[in-house]
Amino acid sequence: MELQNAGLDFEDMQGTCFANGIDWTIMEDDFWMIGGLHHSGKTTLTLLASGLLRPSFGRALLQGVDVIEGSDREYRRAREETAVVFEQGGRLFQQATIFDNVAMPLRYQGAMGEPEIEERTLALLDMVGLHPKRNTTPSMISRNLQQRAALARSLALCPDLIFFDNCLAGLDGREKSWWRETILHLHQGHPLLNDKPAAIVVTTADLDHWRFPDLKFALIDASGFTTYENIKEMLETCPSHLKELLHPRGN
Amino acid sequence: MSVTKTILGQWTLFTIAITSVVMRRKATYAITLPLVYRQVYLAGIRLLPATLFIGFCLGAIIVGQLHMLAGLSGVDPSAYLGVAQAIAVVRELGPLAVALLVLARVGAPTVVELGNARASGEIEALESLAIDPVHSLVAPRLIGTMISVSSLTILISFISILSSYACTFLTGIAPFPMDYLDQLSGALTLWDLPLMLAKSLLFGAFITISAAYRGLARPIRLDEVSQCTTRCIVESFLLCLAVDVLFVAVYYVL
Repeated sequence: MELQNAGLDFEDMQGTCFANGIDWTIMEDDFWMIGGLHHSGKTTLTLLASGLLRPSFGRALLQGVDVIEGSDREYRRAREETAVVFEQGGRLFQQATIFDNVAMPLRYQGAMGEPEIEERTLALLDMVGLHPKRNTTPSMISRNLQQRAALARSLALCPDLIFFDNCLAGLDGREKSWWRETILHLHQGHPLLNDKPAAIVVTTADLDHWRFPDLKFALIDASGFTTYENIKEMLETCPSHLKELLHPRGN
Repeated sequence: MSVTKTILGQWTLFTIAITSVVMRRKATYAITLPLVYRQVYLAGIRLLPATLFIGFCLGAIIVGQLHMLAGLSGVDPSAYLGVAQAIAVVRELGPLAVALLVLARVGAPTVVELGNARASGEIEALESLAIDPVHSLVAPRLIGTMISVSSLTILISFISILSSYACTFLTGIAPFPMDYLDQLSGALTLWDLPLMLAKSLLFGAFITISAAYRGLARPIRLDEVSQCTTRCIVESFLLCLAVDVLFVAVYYVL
């Protein structure tokens, strides 16, 4: 993914504060942590980088495809290789069961028969611990489990670039640990993704639990979007008002 | 004027988008066909009792008004029953009544369903899964509603024709069956059936396009869904009336 001086006109933003003129490249095998306070534009950045929001100016390339000038077929291929897990319940389809939610992209793609779709869907539900809940609707399960169902759905087409839009917000400690381990596993190569490492982008308002040396960091606020090669560089140079993202423990 | 241009422009784009998606060659039939069947059930089969009732009422209304006309002008009502049926019900009231019924029972809930999905971010979720929202949500509704409206229109005309004849026995103006059929066949032309179907297909299309546009085409908040539903109902009704007037001109020319 690549953003080249990309940004949005104010009327597109609907009043949301958003840093413009962003230059950012996500390579294969990258793991990006994007920190930002509330209403800093993390979701807008996720939508822009994942191709769901088209830039008003500049350029956005998703899997090498220009999201504005690329053909519908190329854009659709790029979309199949990219996944987004949304926050606050994952935006599941309320009228469908958990099983149908997860199976929907497979059925729409039409590349597998129904028995293969059922097998893969059940494997994804097993991974997130939702096999017993497969015939319930999203409104019948907790927000934590809805978020897990959204993860299973996003992995259905074996994406190699996955965006997590503030998915850990509001989760308890044990659930956060599960998500952290799962995301790291996806980055290293998961059997459900054919053991292929995925590029990961996680946006969050709490970077404290992501102090790993091999992650790349970026911070977003009204003044701009700044990238850092590692956490050490970020700790040394980030603005003081953004340090609360790290909840410093006497450092 | 700029507001009108914007609305017309968006409407045109949206209509073109739906048309191109409907005609896409590699349609994902496994997903879309069950949705078409579901829409035919919701907009057609489930509305059968109401359609039968409306058809019966239309027939009774025609007979009642003819009876009053006889009292006012001394005209023999039984001589005009078939003509009145053909002009009033088959050509005009039948398709319009079905359109209003489908608009109320299917069009309005469609705006609510799509609007809620748009407001809660489900549409973006669909796009993130490489699922075209217009292809998966709108196209099956469009096809199903068009099939249903045209089928119900034929049914309502048939029921109304039978009902009006049955009601003539209550008012004492019953013509002989063959006379009634002669009147009908004399008033109706070979063009009536295709034009009736064309009109009803257009009604079904405009109801769905209006509902999909109001619910889906632009960003919407949850509190705006009810406003969009109201707009869809008024918009669709006015569009159907406009189409009806156009078809009057077509009937005149033919």
